[in-house]
Order: sequence, then structure tokens, then C-alpha cells
Amino acid sequence: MARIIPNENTWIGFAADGAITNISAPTAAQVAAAVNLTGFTISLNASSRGNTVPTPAFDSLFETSTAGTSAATFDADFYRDDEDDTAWETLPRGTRGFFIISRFGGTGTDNLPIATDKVEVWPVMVTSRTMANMSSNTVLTFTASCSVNVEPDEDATVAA
Amino acid sequence: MAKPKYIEIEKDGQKGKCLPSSLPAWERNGWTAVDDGTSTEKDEEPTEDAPVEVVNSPLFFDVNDKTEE
Repeated sequence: MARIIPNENTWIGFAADGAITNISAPTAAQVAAAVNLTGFTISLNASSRGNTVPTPAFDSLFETSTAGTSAATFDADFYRDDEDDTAWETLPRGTRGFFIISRFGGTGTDNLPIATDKVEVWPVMVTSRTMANMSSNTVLTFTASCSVNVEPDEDATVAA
Repeated sequence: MAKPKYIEIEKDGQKGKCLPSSLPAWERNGWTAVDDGTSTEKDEEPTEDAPVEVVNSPLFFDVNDKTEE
């Protein structure tokens, strides 16, 4: 067991719309065919949030609540590159697909997730692809914001 | 807003879809386009010159429509 940082551990890929048929068990071939965005990724915020619905009643001073809906958001920051602009070109606004995240890294080459590795699969649609403010002595980056149009699987297992 | 027009792509027997503008990035990753995108989904853009379709509704009733008599 170790506490790790994402650098040289995490693997991030983007699979094309329709390329993953079972988000709970993407195949190793489907993961390998995804565009590897690891080397372009600066930060990533894939989070879900649940809502609670208050259910107080007159017979108690304790305010009870019950589970409500849940939602998810997905935003990530990437580098631009004047020669190999893969991240920018892969994620224009309106793009649908799947972000595949292996936070601890897969056991394949260069941390590629392979069969039996755990990954997160986030079905998304890019709602905006916007450049960061340009300023002197600052590397060019952009932010991709996405809607999460299908419930993600944060505990998927790569199938053979 | 029109739905984006997608291109079907393929790699090692796997199929997927991408926007035309992102095709070069997918091709660099070994994917190839399998059609020109003309067969994929798209919406017609509304135009201000489009003829108004007359329909029967509680709010708008076509007095010339005899079909329900």
C-alpha cells in the first residue's frame, strides 16, 4: 500500500462514441484503442454529488432526510501543442465519448490498463472547449467541460 | 441547434464515431473513417423562410381542414 501522486501513475484515455459497449467492463482492446491523453492532462475533476431530500415531520425535532437524485460533473485541463495537438483536436465541442481513468495506473505498458485492472468510465459530451487566459510566460492550455449523459462507473474492471 | 454530424470510424475491428474536425486526431491514433458522414444523424437547420406548417390544435384550428367531419 502506498499513497501516490498521479504523475507517472495515472493513465487517462478517451474512447470514441460507441466504442465502449459495456461501461462496467470495457475490454482491453477497447481501452487500448482509446486516445491516450495522459501526457496532455494537467488536472481532472470527475466528481459526482448526491442530493438529500428533507423529510421532517411534526412528531420529531430531528429533521430527517431521504436520498434524492445524484448528478456528476466532468472538467479537465489539457496542454495545447503546436505540433501534436491531440487533446485539443480530440475534444471539440459536441464530441461524445468515454473518458477512461486509471488513477493508480494499469499494469500494461506505460500504465495502460489491461484485463482485470480497475478503471473509471465516464460517458461524456463535451459542452465547451475553451482556452485558458493567455498571458506572458504561461504555457497554452485549455479546459474541456463535459456533461455526463450516462451514469458513470467508478469501479469498472477491464475485461479480456 | 443542429446535432453535430458524426463520422463512423474503425480501428482493429472496433467501431466508433467522431466529429469531422477531430478525425485527424483519431487517424493519428490508428483509426480510419469508414464513411463520409453523410449517413449519420443530423437535424435540419430552421430557416426564417421555411413555410409554416398548419396543424390542428386547440390553439390553432384550420377551418379548411375537412378531415374530421
